[in-house]
Amino acid sequence: MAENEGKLDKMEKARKIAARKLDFLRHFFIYAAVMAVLAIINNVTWRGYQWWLWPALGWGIGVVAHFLSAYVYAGGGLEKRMIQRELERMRDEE
Amino acid sequence: MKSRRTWVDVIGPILGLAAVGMVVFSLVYLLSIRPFYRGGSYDIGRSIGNASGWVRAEGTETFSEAFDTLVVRNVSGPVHVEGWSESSIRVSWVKEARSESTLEEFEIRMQPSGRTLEVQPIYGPMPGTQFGSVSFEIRIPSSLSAVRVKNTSGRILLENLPADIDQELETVSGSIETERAAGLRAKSVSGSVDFVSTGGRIGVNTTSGRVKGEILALAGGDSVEIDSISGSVELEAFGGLDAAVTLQSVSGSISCDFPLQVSEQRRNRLEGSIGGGSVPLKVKTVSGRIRLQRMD
Repeated sequence: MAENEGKLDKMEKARKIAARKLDFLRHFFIYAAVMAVLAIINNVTWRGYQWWLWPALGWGIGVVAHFLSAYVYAGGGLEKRMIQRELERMRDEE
Repeated sequence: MKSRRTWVDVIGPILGLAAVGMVVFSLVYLLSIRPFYRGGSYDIGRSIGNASGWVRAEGTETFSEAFDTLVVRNVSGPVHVEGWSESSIRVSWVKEARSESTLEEFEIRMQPSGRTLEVQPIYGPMPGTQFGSVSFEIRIPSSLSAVRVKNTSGRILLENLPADIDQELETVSGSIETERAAGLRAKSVSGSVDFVSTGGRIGVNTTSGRVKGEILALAGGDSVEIDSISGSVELEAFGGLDAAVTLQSVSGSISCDFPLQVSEQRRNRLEGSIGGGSVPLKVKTVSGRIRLQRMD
């Protein structure tokens, strides 16, 4: 019974991580498409000042944060690695 | 068992790094272009050299032909227009770029077109980060009847004008200061607008900048229309003002020093006529206060 619940938990966690990664990809492609349109409008109307980089910067920070949450900090991978490293360090000290 | 990577696991980090690269590039560009540059202003002819990585060049050109209209289109940097007693137009400029070679690609084009003189910077094929601001100081004769200035980031100043002139002034992040406007269309997003008008059609539009104006005369056929979102509007008008007044502010206060025959008065709207009410005078703000004062 407990083993079954554990499997369901893992399944749910895996599903969430996969969904987060796909969400990030969708987010990135929308960002890239909108920025491309703004860059084209900017350069067709006036080639000097690249004002479209303002939204690219603001929104880009959001995309980077989304990437970090989907790939780097997803599923507590970083935490696991840090615990592992601490255990190794303690073992070396002994 | 070794886990298999899907294409999402491979492409995700690549796109993530691309997003980081985009953020870094945007930041570097926006910090280097100095989009809100307002300094340096009008000391043309001073300190030309290599300061903090920018190379400067200056120039002056005089046009002795008779023009009716002056058109200036700038992107970054102040535009200063001043009257003088000569009959010619003199355009002085200081341009900045990252290197000498970029500076050569950075042209200040002055093009007579019929009775109009058009002045604008033309950027070379290099990335925008390589080009800096352009400061203009322009002297105009009394024969000129219209001035149009369009700027993106920089102040627009018209002073000591030799005659009443029709004006069209537009900037995004700088302030506008002018006088002797015989017809004025002024627009600023974040800067303030200060004007002195001698009549004609007056239209001022700001988003967050305040508007302060002096109206010295108005005649039949003239009009005043001022719109602002969050800026306050202060108008001072000549004693003999004859206008149909509509003052409207959603959350700001409204006051009027003139004796007004009120036709409608609500918390956020005051409507009525001063004298015969021949000239429409409309002021609208969302959160700024409105004040219509009588000149001493």
